[in-house]
Amino acid sequence: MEQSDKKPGSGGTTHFGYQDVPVKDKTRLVRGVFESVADKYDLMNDLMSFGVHRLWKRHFIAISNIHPGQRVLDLAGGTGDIAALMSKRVGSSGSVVLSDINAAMLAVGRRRLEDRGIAGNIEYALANAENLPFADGEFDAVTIAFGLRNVTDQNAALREMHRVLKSGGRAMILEFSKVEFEPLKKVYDGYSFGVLPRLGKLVADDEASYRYLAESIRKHPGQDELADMMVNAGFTKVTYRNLTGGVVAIHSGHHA
Amino acid sequence: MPYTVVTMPEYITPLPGVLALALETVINHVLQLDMESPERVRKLEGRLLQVDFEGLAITLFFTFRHGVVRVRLTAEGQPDTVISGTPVALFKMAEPEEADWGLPDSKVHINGDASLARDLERIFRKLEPDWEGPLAGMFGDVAGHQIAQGLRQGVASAKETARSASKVIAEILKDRRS
Repeated sequence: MEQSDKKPGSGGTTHFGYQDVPVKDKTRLVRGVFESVADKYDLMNDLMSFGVHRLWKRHFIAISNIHPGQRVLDLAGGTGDIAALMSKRVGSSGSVVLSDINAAMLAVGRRRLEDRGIAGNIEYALANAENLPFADGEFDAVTIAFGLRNVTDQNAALREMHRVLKSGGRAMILEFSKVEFEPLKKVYDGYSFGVLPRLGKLVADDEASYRYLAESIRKHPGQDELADMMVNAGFTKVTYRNLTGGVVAIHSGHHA
Repeated sequence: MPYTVVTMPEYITPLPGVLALALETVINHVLQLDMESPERVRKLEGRLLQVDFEGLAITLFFTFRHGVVRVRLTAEGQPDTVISGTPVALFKMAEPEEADWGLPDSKVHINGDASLARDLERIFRKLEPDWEGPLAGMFGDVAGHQIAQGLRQGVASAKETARSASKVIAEILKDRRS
């Protein structure tokens, strides 16, 4: 499996976009990308998805079955889009923990949520998804949206997501995935590698970061491979659904 | 049986790929409205269904993994079941209450393990779509409930529309071929 050489401390290499880099360096390199794009992250997502990411996120939460009163964790929560949607669903009797490994992203998220008046049921945690500072079985649901592909040891992150879930709790992953339909794939590749980096340079003067984002999407496991990883991490009832022809997929699994 | 290992068919137009993508999207969308469907589909894991659209020279392969139905133009291995028929007859399979495709004079032919086709039919027959959950998430509890109620009331007419649409699609496919 692609992740087999990614164990932290193994001394091996892992991918950073299409480059092979030492495992110990990936977290720092990814952090650099996101510190670079933090202020323009929403704009970046709009460029990458033609704005459709907002619909994907709404659908993601719409099918999450998150109820009032639940305690939920959003990993790699970035600028707080998902946490804002979950905050409404859990209500004042529930709580949302917005977590990110990157202090710059978390600060942007916190500022945006507070500016929108979303507070009271949200906590913030600067945390590495591979080593979560939470107790076993603490959450009813754990989500990660467009974040897993940036995690160095994805298997470790999945195991941690499983560990912090209550029995019966559900993990959900929204992530770019594999397009199988050839005509759509060609258009998608042309846009990702031809247009997107140029837009990144034009809009954010940061072509390299945008190129990394396109490459990291292609290196991310496909639908079945990620589902297999979730099964290996201990999840049951693992399944997924494609959105927009497989450009993104929503994976879900339960803690038995 | 005269099956061989499936190889890559050569299609000149993207129509078969569009058909595969459309079918996969629609089938999974419908299945995922029912929380229990992925578990039922999971029981079919490892089985391979080949569907031949007679008159169109299009062959699609259905596989089942992680509770998801995948529709592809190619597959590896020998199909467990081969279903063949005209587009009109095959699309009628989407109407289990009217399906006669298991009968000897049916226009749909099944070779191999017929139980796979019957398992699929049962999955669709048992569907109990949860309209309310996703709609409540999108529009709020009250509006979501009202829309879901409207949808339930509209299901009968929607079925009728779908039945007509499947016939129209089948006719269009037939016309494109001829």
